[in-house]
Amino acid sequence: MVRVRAGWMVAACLLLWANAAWAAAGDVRVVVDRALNGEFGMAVVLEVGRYDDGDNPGITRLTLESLVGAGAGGYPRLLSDTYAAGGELEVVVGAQSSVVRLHGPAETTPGLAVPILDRLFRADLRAGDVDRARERALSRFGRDSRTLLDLVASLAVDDPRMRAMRDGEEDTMDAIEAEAVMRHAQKYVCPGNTTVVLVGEVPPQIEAAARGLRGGKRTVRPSARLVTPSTFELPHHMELQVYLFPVRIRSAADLALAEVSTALLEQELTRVLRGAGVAYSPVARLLHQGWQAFIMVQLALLPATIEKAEPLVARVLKDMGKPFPGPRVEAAMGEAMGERMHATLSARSLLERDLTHIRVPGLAVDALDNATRRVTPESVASFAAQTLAPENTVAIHVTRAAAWRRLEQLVRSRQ
Amino acid sequence: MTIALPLLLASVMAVAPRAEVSSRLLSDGTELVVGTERGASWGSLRYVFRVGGGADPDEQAGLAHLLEHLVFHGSYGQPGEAFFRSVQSAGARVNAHTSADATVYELDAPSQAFPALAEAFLRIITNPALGLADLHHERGVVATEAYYRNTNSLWRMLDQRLFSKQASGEDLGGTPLSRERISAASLMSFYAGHYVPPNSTLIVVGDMTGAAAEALYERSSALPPLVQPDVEAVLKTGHHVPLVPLDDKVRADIVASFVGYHLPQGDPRLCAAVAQVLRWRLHDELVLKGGMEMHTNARCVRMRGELFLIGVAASFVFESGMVQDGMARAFAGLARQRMTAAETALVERRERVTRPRGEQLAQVLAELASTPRPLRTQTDLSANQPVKLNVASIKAAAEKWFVRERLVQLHVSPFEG
Repeated sequence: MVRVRAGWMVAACLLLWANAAWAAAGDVRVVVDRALNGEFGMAVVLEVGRYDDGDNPGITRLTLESLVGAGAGGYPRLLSDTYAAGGELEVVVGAQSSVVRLHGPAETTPGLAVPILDRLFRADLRAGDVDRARERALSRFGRDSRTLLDLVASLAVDDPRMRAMRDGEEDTMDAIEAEAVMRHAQKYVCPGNTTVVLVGEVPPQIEAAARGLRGGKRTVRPSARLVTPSTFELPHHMELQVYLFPVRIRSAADLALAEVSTALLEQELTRVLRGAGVAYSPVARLLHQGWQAFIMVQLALLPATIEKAEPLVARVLKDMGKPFPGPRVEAAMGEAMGERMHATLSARSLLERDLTHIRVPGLAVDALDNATRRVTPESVASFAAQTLAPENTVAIHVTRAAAWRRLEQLVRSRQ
Repeated sequence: MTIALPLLLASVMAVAPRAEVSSRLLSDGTELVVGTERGASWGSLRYVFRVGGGADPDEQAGLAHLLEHLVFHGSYGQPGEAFFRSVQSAGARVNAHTSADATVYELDAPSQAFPALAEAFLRIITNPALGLADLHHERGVVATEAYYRNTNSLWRMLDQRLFSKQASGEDLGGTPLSRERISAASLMSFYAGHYVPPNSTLIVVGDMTGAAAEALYERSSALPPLVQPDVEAVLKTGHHVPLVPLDDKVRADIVASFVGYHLPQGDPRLCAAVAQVLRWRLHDELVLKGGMEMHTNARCVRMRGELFLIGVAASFVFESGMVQDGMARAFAGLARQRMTAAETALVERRERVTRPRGEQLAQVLAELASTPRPLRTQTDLSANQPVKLNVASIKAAAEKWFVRERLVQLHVSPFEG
């Protein structure tokens, strides 16, 4: 008994230092962020999305729904077990990657993690599983296509295949053969094409089970880029001004600099726009969608104040290219690190983020914090001058006006 | 290294702390509620003033909300901007919300930074430099917020339908005209009349004892310690009567259905038990049996002091007819079918493991503390305690409560209204 306990102690301590360790090709990648927060979260990130649907729009969604719904007791059992555990489970299909997310109390939710991994990677998928998943898959398309960045991807990316992505519909879904789903699952839903993110109170056996997954290859795609500068109008029920600034992130230093600059940008926009009484809560976020990282600025403005706000925004973006006083940058560094700590402490918020951190291989939170401390006012200014430049901008006006115009066109076309 | 190993292990093996919640009335009349979570890495503060848009003066709708914004401009000794910087540097968050019944100020911060930030925040809230605040520009900020918030807050929609005859609380954000009528003098008068100790509850959740929280309050609060004789008269707000039965439809860009009942004589503990079971039945009816992708919930809520049991189903798809039928079946089923032993075990297990802690606990306590009530009475914390399910009493309550005259139904979708 004593020997087992001692062995477990050593293993536990080694696991603590094994954050964000990366496996060989063909193995699953595992990222662990432990926190004593009473929660457990798992995000299974698969490098497959609607981009890979080809001639079968909706096949990725149908594949994931079929896999999750297969196994003992099917989908109803999984949902009931998740409910009883106080957890939540969702499947989100993106442009080039998809996520199966599970989170809930640390006391009960880890018990669902291995069964879900089993369903995803070891299920003996049958035609009946696919047929049972069709209706469910259809009802979930509405959720996937609501991502603003997905809409942008369809408009502003230089890859025609990405621009042609579309959701499945009832007739196209019915036409997808079960065999095609099985082939899709075999090709894309495999450990080698997967990153498993474990956060919160992670039992060692769950981590061990994830690390033991092997097989399959990582999806390799040509890199897509946002075309800049460009301007778009998107129909929506709200008025929003959105700016996207593509960034390249290849190391902890790149990521730290981008995070600090983004925090400083949000602080500046808040100070200037709220000071002028023209915006409620300006947002600047660093997002990584797999195919591209961006700084996204989102402004909720009254239609009547857009004209007044635009020159103020332009001034803030330009002024970001000049070095700020040290204490201002330090506050932004603190915010970037605090945001990271908050995300780690709250498994839920980390899982709901876009998983930016897992896109940078070999990255541990400590390395990122150290890189953040090395950010200087000059490095922020240099980064901002390039990144926030007009020629590196995608500007999107999300507007009711366009929504009404589209509705009008629709009505006319039917008359 | 040999010394560090057991410490590391302890951090792995320990489980996240559960809070012990206690409350007391301080000498100046302030209620202090403390949830001590030993070893918590995060601290949360909620400062509740039981006054909100429902008490806005005639023709000045939006005053309570505008006041909440102006408080963040800072106190005489501490500009709001400097406070925000220290919050950002610490990786903390501050916010505030104004409902019809209450105004709640919020701080969540890493434990290390929490005491200093909490102290600075309390100084600002209890001694704001309202005379120096930029009223004109803040009206613009509030206008933008009102534009976005009023079309998106489901609970606000429900509140405004249930209490739409209460003129002063009709629009918590106000209108451009009503906000123009708000002056610095009326803001200061409102603050002096309502931001008083016996009308407030300070909630602290985190690695802090009750004594430490009390000392923090004593060091930081600048609210007048003595209640003026006429304060009780000022704080007497009109009794709000809900418009039930309510069967209404609202057009908005989301799809959601509220179904519930007004429980004028309802026992909050029993209501909490019924809500637990209803949560499961809604999930079972709509998600499991109905196969619909949606968020379902059931809660006992107080709106303007009145108790309601409300079920809500929010969806991304337009299946509103099926949703309404499914919700009706879930409610009716509570009165018709007794819970099985398996159901009881499932519901009890879920409730046990999802008991809130940290920020969530602070939020729950703030909701309880926001309930309008006579001065110098403490928050009823019993609604936060685990409830043992009694199958017979739940069925009996459902039979008694779910009557047509008390029904609340509100359906929200782009095709309604």
